[in-house]
Amino acid sequence: MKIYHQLGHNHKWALDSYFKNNIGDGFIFSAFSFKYGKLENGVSTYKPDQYLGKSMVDLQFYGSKKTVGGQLESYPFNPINLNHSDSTMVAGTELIAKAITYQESLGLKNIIIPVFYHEASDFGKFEKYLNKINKIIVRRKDKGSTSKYFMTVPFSNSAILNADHVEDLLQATTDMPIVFDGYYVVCDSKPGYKRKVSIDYDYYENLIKIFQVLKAQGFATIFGYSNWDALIFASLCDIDYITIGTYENLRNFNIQRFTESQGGGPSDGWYFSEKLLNFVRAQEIKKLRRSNCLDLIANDKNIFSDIILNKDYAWNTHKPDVHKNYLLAISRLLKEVANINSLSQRAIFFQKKIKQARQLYDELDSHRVVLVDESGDYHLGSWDSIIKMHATH
Amino acid sequence: MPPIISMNDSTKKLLNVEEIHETFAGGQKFVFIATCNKKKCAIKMFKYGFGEREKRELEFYITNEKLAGIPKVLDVKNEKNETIVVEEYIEGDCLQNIIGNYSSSATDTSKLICDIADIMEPIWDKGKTHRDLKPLNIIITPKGLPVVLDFGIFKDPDLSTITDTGVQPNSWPFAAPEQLLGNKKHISYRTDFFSLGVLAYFLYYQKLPFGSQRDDVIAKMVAQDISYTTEHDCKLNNFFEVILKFDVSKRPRNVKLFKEALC
Repeated sequence: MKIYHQLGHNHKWALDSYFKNNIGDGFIFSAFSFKYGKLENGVSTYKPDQYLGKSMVDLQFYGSKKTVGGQLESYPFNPINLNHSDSTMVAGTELIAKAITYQESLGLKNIIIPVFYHEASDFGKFEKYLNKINKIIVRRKDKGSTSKYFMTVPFSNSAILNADHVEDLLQATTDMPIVFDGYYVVCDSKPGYKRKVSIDYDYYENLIKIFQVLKAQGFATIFGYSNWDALIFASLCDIDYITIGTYENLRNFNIQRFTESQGGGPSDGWYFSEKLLNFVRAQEIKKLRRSNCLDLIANDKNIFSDIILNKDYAWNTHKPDVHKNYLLAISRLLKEVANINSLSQRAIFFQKKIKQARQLYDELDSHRVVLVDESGDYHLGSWDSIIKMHATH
Repeated sequence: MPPIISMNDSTKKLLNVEEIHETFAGGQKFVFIATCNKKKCAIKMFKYGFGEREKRELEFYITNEKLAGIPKVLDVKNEKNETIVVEEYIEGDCLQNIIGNYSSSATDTSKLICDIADIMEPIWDKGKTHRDLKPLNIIITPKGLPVVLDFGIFKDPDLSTITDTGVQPNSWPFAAPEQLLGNKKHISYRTDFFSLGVLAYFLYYQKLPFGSQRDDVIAKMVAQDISYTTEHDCKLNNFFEVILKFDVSKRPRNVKLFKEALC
């Protein structure tokens, strides 16, 4: 399993974390944040030959409204630039073919094939695109292309919760004529109010099925926009690439980002604790410090954690160390899980992690520190159940 | 049409029949095993006329005449508005009659399933599905090789399905969940994979994996109860594990993976 940075806003932090701190194995650039022509001319202080060999590009065909902002409009083949009268399947297929050609022209070894977002009710249209694009890839492979082609499979929240849709989609994506090398799976997990990760069993059940079936059928998988609930999936499925991201919109796929303008609100930021398997609101850090509990939840051997847990640190979500703490902590956890070859042993290992996290919450409680809302242990019970239901030990 | 128990002289003359060896009366047709033009053949005459199902089957055999392991059509005649099909005679035993030969033999069962997959592979490659693979539709030749019969209800994605016109396979013991539960859109080559999985289990254990009553099998499929019993050391266990999946997407996506599960 490789860890790729999902790059967007303030991508320099993620790039620095790779080049200076050895975090992650590569990058997925998002067209939203990188103007057309930027990647071939250097990003931040890095030159193309430093990153392109270990990069993929998500050209993000998910939405088509010009009002969404970002750099999508600068890509001549982005559907944003498609006249409404041209919005036929033929025109759409041409755009996708151009998007593939663009990535090949960058010399990328792994090509993410963008596709239009669809709801479960539009599955027939997605299936037609799937088969049309598959024929394009057949021709490219026949001509000797050695690139690896990953077809995008986007799931809205209602689509991922729909087991019948998931089965339909898996049948289509694993059908005999399909020649894609793998799939780039992006999914709107839609965590509930005052939640950062989903606790919906159907979300976990269906996404686990997707990763397990695709792998069993010989396809490589990329889990795009993944949050730290990727730990559950990594414990139960053999996923080839898992992404890590700084800001929330890089850790949770949300179609609204591509259909309407969105702005981020002010925040002091979050502390990701490997031991709690959760983010803790910056405001809660004071509570933990006052009760002498900070050491209980602090990440070990993490320079960024040391910096941001310093009592004089001025918390702000737009500071790099806040995010780098997460990148280092989550990448360590993911590697720790994925380095165990046996899936049954992985599940046992992660179940212990969950148990330890739950015990730590209890210990904090005994110190009269009750972490609530997003910072609480709302997700651990669900995770524990899911592991127990799926583990083969 | 009144039941035919013997062949008219005019038909014999038309087909150059030299000798009739055996006759069979099936559900849809009468079959005469005969010698015509010094060659043994099977003459088929249709009880209820030459309908959609029969036309599709004939077209299938003619279109795929170069494929090994399926019947070959030698001649098609029309007499008094009745179509008569003359097929190559396939010598051998109907699998239905010799299932005991495969009992507890993983090697023989595996080889047979693999041979059937070899026959079906070019058909599956074209997106077509047999939909009714069962012992009654398989002949084992004296050389031990199978011949797959009865493509009357095969599914071709380029044609309307014959079941839309009311013909349903009546072979529930070997049917896949998508057939028994009526999920027609999910019927594909992987439906045949499932039937072959059930067939392998049936040959090895001499019983069906999910129960001997139609209603019990359907109830298990509805409940997603995939349980079945196996011998601990049966060499086909991996094959059963991989093929006998109620979710179509979980069955192998191609013949290579299907065969790998057999090894």
